[in-house]
Amino acid sequence: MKASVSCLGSILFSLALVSPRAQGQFEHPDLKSGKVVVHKLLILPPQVGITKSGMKGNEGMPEEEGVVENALPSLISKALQAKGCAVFDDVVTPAALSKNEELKSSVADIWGKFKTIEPHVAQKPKDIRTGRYTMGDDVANFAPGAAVDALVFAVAAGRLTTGGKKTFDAFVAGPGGREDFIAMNIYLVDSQSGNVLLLTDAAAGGNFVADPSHMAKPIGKSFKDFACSQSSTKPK
Amino acid sequence: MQRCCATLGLSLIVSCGTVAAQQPPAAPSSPPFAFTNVDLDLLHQTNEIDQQIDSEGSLYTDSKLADYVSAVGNDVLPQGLPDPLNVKWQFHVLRDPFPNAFALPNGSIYVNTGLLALLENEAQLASVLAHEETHVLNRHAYLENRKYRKKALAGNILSGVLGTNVPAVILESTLYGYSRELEKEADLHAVTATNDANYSTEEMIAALKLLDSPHEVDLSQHFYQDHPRLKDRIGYLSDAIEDTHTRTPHPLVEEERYFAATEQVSRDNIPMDTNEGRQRTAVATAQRLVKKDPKSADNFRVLGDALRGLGPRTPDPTPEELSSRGKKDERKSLWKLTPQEYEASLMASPAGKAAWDSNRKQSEDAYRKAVEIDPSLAAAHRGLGFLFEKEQLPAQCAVEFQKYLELAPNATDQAQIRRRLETAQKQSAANAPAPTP
Repeated sequence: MKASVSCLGSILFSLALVSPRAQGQFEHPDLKSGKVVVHKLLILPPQVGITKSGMKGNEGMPEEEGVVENALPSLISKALQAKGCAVFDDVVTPAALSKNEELKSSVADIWGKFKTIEPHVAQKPKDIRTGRYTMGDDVANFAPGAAVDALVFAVAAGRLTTGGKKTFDAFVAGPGGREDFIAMNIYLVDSQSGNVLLLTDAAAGGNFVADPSHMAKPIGKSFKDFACSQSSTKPK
Repeated sequence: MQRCCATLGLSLIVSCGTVAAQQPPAAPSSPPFAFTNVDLDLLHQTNEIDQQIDSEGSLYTDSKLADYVSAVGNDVLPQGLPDPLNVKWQFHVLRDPFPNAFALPNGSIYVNTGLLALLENEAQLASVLAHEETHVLNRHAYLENRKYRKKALAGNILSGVLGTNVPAVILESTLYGYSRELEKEADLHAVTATNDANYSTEEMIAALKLLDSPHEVDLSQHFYQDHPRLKDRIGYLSDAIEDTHTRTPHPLVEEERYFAATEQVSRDNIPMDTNEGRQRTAVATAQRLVKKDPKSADNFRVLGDALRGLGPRTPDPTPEELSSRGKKDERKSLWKLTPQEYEASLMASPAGKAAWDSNRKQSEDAYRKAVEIDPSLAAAHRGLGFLFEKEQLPAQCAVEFQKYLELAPNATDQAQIRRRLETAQKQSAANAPAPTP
């Protein structure tokens, strides 16, 4: 299958992009200067990829991905609430999506649009500071976003290594090479202009599937230099 | 499917097209497939993937179309036999503009909207579905998974002994180089299945030629291709078709029925193509729709949209674009520039300006034709508004956006268009000559 090599390559690449970089925060100039006000935020269902790395190769872990996808919105929500934001993390939930085909499609579409710029942002996140990246004002057509200032996109890539693989790697290459980890990029996008306003990244170790609270602290830390405005331009 | 990891799992499962050339096609007399724990794990994972695809909103939800695809898919299944163990036939349409179809080992068969928009008749769809069904019937995914796991184990040991972190991607291409035998097996089985269902087998070759469409520049740099080369495929398929005793003197092609069932999905696929950088394919599809149904205002409207989306590109790739240097440059630009920056860079060149000038005129003509057929077609006015906005003609832009808002008061993009209308009105007022005293 043509897709498999390129896709595996892109996973490895995205892991490489997100994992070794030190925690960083990149703000749009208009957000920094206060020209753009962010108070009300809508968290979109995150996209999580987890790979099980074992002696018999890598495998996707759809169930575990679901666990992390369900846990992330509330963790991000708490971190943002601590920064004074009003967060809507219960609008676009899996339960809401399962009942509403139209909403499901529009969430898929907005994610699709986001994916067209995400590789560029991940490649040169510093350019957020020059206001380079935008999804375009089509974003305003996403109905649930009409009531908020910004949309929150979270992308995470994780790896869980089996015991056998850890032992084998320790035997061959020495200890410490194959820890479990998850790396997360969290983006704030202006709900009307589509401008990428903020990117923060966080990484967590340990078994983040069995205990998603492992991710709470790094997520909280990733917003350390960010604060929400006290009010929104949107009506109540 | 948007998510890469899910796609990885999926591609692993669906790409299982390399082993067991010696595996005989499914036949009533062949011994039942013995499921191992590894196979049951894979089955469990594929069921999860089915759910994931649905929950992510990747399915194209049109029950009539789904029923149509299911009916064609069921026609080319072996008749009078029970479903194989752990197979539940389900046919889905995926919102994906790339012309592709794939099968999961649990019997779920997915056809992309891009493939439906590309194919020309029901016989072609039947041959694609029969090909995918063979992967399920002959348990290709399970066999490939078993082989993959063995090779991965060997790969792990090899990379460990060598003391290098050989990237998995290299391992995959060197150790798991894909043989094309299984795809050939599926092709040949599809000839029999389509013939048994009284479809024209010749259309299978026509479908293959369509898949090799020249509309886009192929920028991919694959280490391998899972399907046999097109020429080879056409060669062995022609031989197989010649050897096949046609069951009926008038095999089914069903072009009109297919068009009626897929006209809407073809229209809906056009913006997806444009968004995915397949602007030329979008234009070709729209032109085909207009040719098939020239009385449809909506078809002219999507042609206008597609030509507007084509922007500074020529309708067909230029020789420069097709050269290896041109491809290298384009890959580099697409990697370095955001879609908006890339579009602007094309527009800045004289060739880009000339192409845009031609596309803009044709786009306007198409929108005007759509409005002539159906003056109440709001989307055509919106398209004209966008066109005039890009041309920096704010007065005309404002008129069209105003019409759109009047005709579609409940449209989801009201806020966006209203904002653009306000900007156009301001610009128009600023451009207006000062009143004489």
